[in-house]
Amino acid sequence: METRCGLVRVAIMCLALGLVLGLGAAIASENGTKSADTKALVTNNDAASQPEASAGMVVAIDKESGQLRAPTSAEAKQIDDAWDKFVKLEYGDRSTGFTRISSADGSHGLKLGPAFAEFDMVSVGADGKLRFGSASSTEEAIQWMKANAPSTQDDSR
Amino acid sequence: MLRSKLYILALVVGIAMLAAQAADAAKIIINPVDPAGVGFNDPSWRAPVGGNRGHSLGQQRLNVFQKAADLWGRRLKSNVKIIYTAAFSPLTCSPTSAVLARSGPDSIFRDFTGAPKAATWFSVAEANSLYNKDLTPGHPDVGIYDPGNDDAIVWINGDIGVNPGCLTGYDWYYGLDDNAAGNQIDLLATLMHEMGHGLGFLTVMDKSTGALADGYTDIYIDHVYDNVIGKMYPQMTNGQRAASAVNVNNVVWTGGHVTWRAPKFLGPEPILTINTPGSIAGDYDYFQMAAFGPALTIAGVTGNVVMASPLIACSPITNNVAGSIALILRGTCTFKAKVLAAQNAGAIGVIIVNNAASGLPGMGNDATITTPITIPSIGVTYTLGVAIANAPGVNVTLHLDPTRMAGTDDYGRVKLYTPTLMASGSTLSHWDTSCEPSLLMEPNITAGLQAAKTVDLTSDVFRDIGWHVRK
Repeated sequence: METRCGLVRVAIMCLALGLVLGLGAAIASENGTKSADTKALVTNNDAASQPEASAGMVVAIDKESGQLRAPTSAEAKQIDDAWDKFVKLEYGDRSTGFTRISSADGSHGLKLGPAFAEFDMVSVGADGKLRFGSASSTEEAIQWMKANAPSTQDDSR
Repeated sequence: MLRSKLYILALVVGIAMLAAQAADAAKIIINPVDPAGVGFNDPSWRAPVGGNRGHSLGQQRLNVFQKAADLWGRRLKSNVKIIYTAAFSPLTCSPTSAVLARSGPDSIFRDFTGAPKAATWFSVAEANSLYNKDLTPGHPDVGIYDPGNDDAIVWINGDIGVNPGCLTGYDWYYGLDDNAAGNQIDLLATLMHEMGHGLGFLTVMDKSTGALADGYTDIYIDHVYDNVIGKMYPQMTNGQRAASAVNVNNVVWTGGHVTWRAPKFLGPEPILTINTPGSIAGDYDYFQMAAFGPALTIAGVTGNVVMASPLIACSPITNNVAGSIALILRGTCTFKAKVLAAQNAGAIGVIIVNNAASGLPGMGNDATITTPITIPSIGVTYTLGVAIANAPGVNVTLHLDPTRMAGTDDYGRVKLYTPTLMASGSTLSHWDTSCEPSLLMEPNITAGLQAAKTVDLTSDVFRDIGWHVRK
């Protein structure tokens, strides 16, 4: 019987339940690796994928039994890799946030993900005037807005 | 009868000439991807404003997008349609701050037929134009970041002016006439800016690590030079590029079209000239002008520097600063309060020294002080301020230098924005904020922009990076 698992890394293990299915599926779907994931989990008799102790921050959930269990080493690596890739895609690492496009005419392209977008932000200063900033990711944009809240930034003094 | 025929002939010739002239203009297509009822599809009634005849919010938004598309389209040559994925959906927001927009090219290409430089990335819109063929053909995308065929994206925050909890009290200005009020953000100027990024006014290198996109340079940083490192960006190591990205005031655009045309758009540079003593004498251009008080003049003001007492100047100044340039430390009260204290004591100018190790004082206004400020004031770094304070017999002039342009280096090359804090997408992909008057591609959307009429040096950047630009 085919076993399918959703995987996630969370700060608090209990919160994993809510996030794991959607995020795991999103990552798998985003990277086009869903079938590969499934196959890897079916072959968990492989010595390299036997359950082992983890740092306690990573958990696997068996969708059929609903039980939490420690991930196999292969699953743990898969979680790490997927999470890193997700974070980089979402938060601006430009080393991986693209998909290569090759054409028969010899040209090469990169389909750019969100990591390559420019964000422009605005904040209302204590003097009532707008101040602007830019960022290259959602995370940076939010950090900028927090840093430029009127209570923390006052250009008038 | 003959006169009538001549009129008709002239009309036909005129139309033909116009048609020929417009034939090579780029056609920019807006591909709205908002769901029903929101963004471009918001049916809320709106009164026409500033030449925008739309009667619904969604229609007005679309009209501004189309206007921006037309303004860019008539400036660039391309036989391949440029398709912009466009959204007006909510972006991150709070009552006092918001993401205005996110934008950029959808893909980049290198080594295509007609590429003016090998092994170099170009935005897909430019690559299509140079190749004269669509490198990403197919139907328009149906969403943001679809693995599809559009050429660039612009996503504007649709919550501004709609959600009361988003940038409370502010709204977009949907007019087409550069006439935004004080509590409005000019959407047309914002769009002209954002579309500029999508057409190629940006680098795709990783600014934090200096790594090139997939190991290849891009045509933008092919024109970027660091005056301290002494290298063009493609010739640098990753570490040098990362260091240069925070090398404030020292990174410039080397493209010939921009340098040639910069005098048309940039005014004289504000300069702090230290006349004496010789140990620190010279011209300094890295300082912050105050947002209040008179602008500098070419003649400027000259005087001896006297440290105010109290140095913080949040109470009346007790020592004699009359006829002098008062040196004051930042902190406790507003800049304007300090300058007013110096003015009341008879000073002819003020230098405010930053109280932090890096950066410049903001020199922002204090609207609660209504007394007119009649003396100029600037903010300087802590390092320069301490040097002035410790030197004997300092005499300075605060003035405009008509031989130099604001925001340029000694060779007239326009500076790029490289603030000391790199956690910012604005680094490198914008002009430096020392450019005066402000330029469209600075990080700030300033009130003085006339985006409906001019894109200032942006077209020249596009010429430099290989776009065929129409006259």
